[in-house]
Order: sequence, then structure tokens, then C-alpha cells
Amino acid sequence: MNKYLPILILTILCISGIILAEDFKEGIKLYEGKNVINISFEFNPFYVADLIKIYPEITTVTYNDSKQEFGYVNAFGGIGDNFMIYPNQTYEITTRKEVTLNLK
Amino acid sequence: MKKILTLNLLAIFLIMPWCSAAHYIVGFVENAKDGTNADGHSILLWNPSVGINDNLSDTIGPLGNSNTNSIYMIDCELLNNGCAVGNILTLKILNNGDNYVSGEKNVSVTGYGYDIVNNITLNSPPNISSAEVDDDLTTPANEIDLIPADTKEITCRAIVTEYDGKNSLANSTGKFFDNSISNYNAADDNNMHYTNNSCYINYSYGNINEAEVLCKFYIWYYANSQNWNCTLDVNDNLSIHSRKGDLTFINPLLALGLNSVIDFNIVNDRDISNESKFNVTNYGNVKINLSLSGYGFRENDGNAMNCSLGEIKNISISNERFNLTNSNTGEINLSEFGNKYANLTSSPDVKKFNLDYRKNDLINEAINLTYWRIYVPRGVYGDCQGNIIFGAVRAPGN
Repeated sequence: MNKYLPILILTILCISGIILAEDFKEGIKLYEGKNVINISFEFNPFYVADLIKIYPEITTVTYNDSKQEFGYVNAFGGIGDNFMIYPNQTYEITTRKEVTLNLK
Repeated sequence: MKKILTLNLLAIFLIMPWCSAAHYIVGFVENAKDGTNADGHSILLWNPSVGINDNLSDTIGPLGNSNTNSIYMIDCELLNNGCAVGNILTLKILNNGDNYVSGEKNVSVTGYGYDIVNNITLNSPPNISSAEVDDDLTTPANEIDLIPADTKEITCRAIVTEYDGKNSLANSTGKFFDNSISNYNAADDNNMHYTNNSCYINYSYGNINEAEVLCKFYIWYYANSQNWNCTLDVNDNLSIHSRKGDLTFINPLLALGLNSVIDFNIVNDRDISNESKFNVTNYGNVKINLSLSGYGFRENDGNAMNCSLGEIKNISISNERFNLTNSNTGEINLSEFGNKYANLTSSPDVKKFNLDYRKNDLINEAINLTYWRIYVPRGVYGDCQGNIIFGAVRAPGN
């Protein structure tokens, strides 16, 4: 058991940033700094630029489809890939301060 | 318990990419002051404490990560060594061959997912708008007259436009070379190639974006008579250079150098002197033959010498003879004197000498000996003096 302990700790650390939206039906709470989220409930996909227009506290959004990284930065009016946000995908979102996303 | 561990490992596998999060370095690049657009140029990012070999790049503008004019966007976490809060990263625009680059800018990595670098300005390379070369005689233009046995100062002059301000010009070098057989990169050789590594930049010239470059060369008398190219190279403070040249022609120089006198020593009347050797040096830049003539007191007087004593007091011009190729030492009789030596004449006579011009920068090898004897006729005494006129005539074949 002891030899699996480091793996277990690492696992807990890595998934600590994952917020499963099902657990926060009232909204997705993002903390200041980096957040890794996977939105598991259904919603209509939308562009990341539109998300940032609604939540200007968000500074960056990154999506990695395992082949390529797509990033959007809330600077210079919004730069980078204006990709779609889909349900059941994992995104890294960085915010300046705590914010709660209401996607419904 | 085994099932929980399996799930955890699966979670690690799925989430691992997110354990190394993205952090973007973004910034604005101003177009060059000469109007050149920054878009399409490449910008490089690296961590100097790691080394430039671990680097990332982006294309500025819509073709790059930012999809936005004049903007770049690089995820520094994609460096092999990643990036962390507190790291100082460096960026610069790379030279894609058009000589538009930038100085280096540093940025400190902080939180919140991205950092904005202070604006970078695309550097304008210096532009040599005009270049000209000449000696101190500007008329006729594009001709250089060398000085026998000496150097001639020539000046290459250029006007440089530097849109980043004339003070960003760092240094200038110049090369002056025979355009027919040498080239810009050839080694220095007094016959064909000269270098000046510290040309003068006159910052007082013109407006805030203009400067004058003056590059002097000291050209030896034996520089080839050909078309020559003076090319100036001007560097700015980012080691971006501009180069421009101008052509001129070095005129043929016919010149020779001689010992001061031919001394035959004491010769009795009705005797032939010992052979006197006399050096002739080519002090020009073409192969020469010799034009020879002589006189005693005044030109065309038919004599070789005038003497102070005796019944005749003259030595006829035909009694002074020379050989331009071979030495004949020892006593000789009148027949040998006539056969082995050519007689001097009162009017100039061109003789084949084929003395090439100097080719060795270290030793002057363009020197040939000539051999002289004189016959003193009966009744001539005292001190004798005469004149030999040496002239240089261009020999065929160079």
C-alpha cells in the first residue's frame, strides 16, 4: 500500500482543480488563479470570446485536444483561438478573481 | 481498494496534460519606422537562465497564435523546461532574411495566466542612399591618379538613412578592390584589395535620421590599373548592416626611379670604362619599356659628355653604350664594345625592357639592372659630365 501512496497524493493534487459541474448546479465557481473544469451537464456550445465578454475576470482559457493546444487570452481585446466551449470537455481557465459561471 | 487505485491512475492519465498549465506571454510589435509591417516576422522566446536552445517562436500577426495584427502569443509552459512565476524570459524578433529584427525584451512571469511584454519596435536596417568614391581631384570624375613611389589618399563617401535615429549607427567598414580580379571578401593585397575597418561616421551631417560615412584608403602606386569598387558597410546597434558600392577607374601610372648618377670612375683616353651597373625601378602600375637618349651640354648636341680638358672636350653620343639585359664584366675590346652594347642616341629611342610593376607587398621586386660603358676617345681629359634621359613607355602585355 505504501508504494502507491505518492501516486495517490499526486492524483488528489491533480484532480483537486477539477470541478465537476454536476456538483455545482447553481453555477461553476472559479477561484482566483488557475482552474481546470469539465462541464458535464448539457448546454449550448458557445465561443470562448463570448464567455470572456460575460466574465471579464477570466484572463485565459486553454483547451488541449491531445494533439494541439488552443488558447485564448483576454488581452488586446481578446487574442488567440476563438474556439467553442463544449460540454464534457476539460478546459483550463485562469481568473483574476473568484467568479461563478452560470451557463444555463 | 484495487479498483480505487485503478481509477486514480486513469485520472492521472487523463488529467496529466493539465498538471502543466498554460501561461501566455503576449505583446505588441510596432511596425518599423520605415513603414515595414511587423506582421509575418518571427519572434523568439527563451529563458536566459536555461539557454536559447530551449526556445519557442511565434509569427507576429494574423498568421500566428494571436490571430491578431501586430500581436504575438506564446505559451511559455511549452518550453522544454517550462516556466514558473518569477522566471525572467527574453524575446526578440528574428531576422528572416530581410534584416528587420528587434532588440531583446525581458518579461517576468507572474500569475493570472498571461503576461504582457512592453511594446517591441521592429528595427529598420540602415539604408545607404548614396555612395561615391574619388580622389582629391574630382575632375574628371571616376578616375584616380596614383602617385609614383607613394600612396594616394582616396575617399569613399556614403549618406546613410537610419530611421531609428542616426545614433543607432554603430560602425562602418569599407573595402576598395579591383573589380575585375578581386572581390569584397578577398584578402588585402596592395595590388588589388584594401580594407578600412574603422570608417568615420559623421553624426553631424543631415537630419536626425541621416549620417555621413567617410572611409579613407591609402592606395599604393602599384595598384592595378582597372575598374575598382569601393563598397561601404554600415552596421547599426543590432548588428544589422547595409552595403553599397561605387566604381571608379585607376589610371595607368608610368613612372620609374633611378640611381642619381652613373659613375664610370677614371678612364684613360682610348680606353673603355669598366661596366657600370645602374638600377631602374618601376614606380608605376604598368609594365614598362625604356626610352633612352643622351646629351652633353644641351639636348641634341650629339655628345654623351662634356669634359673640362683636352683638345676635343667632348665624348660623342655613340661612345656611350648600354645593355639592358646582360652583364659583360671584365675588359673588352672595341669590337666587343660594339657588339655587346647598344649605343645611346641623341633622340629618344624606345628599347624593350619589360619591367613589370611591383607585385610583392613586402619586397620591391620591380627593379632591373642596366649595364653601361663609355669609350673615351683620344685627346679628352679632365672631368666629364653628361646626361642620360630615361623615359618609361608602356610595354605591351599588361
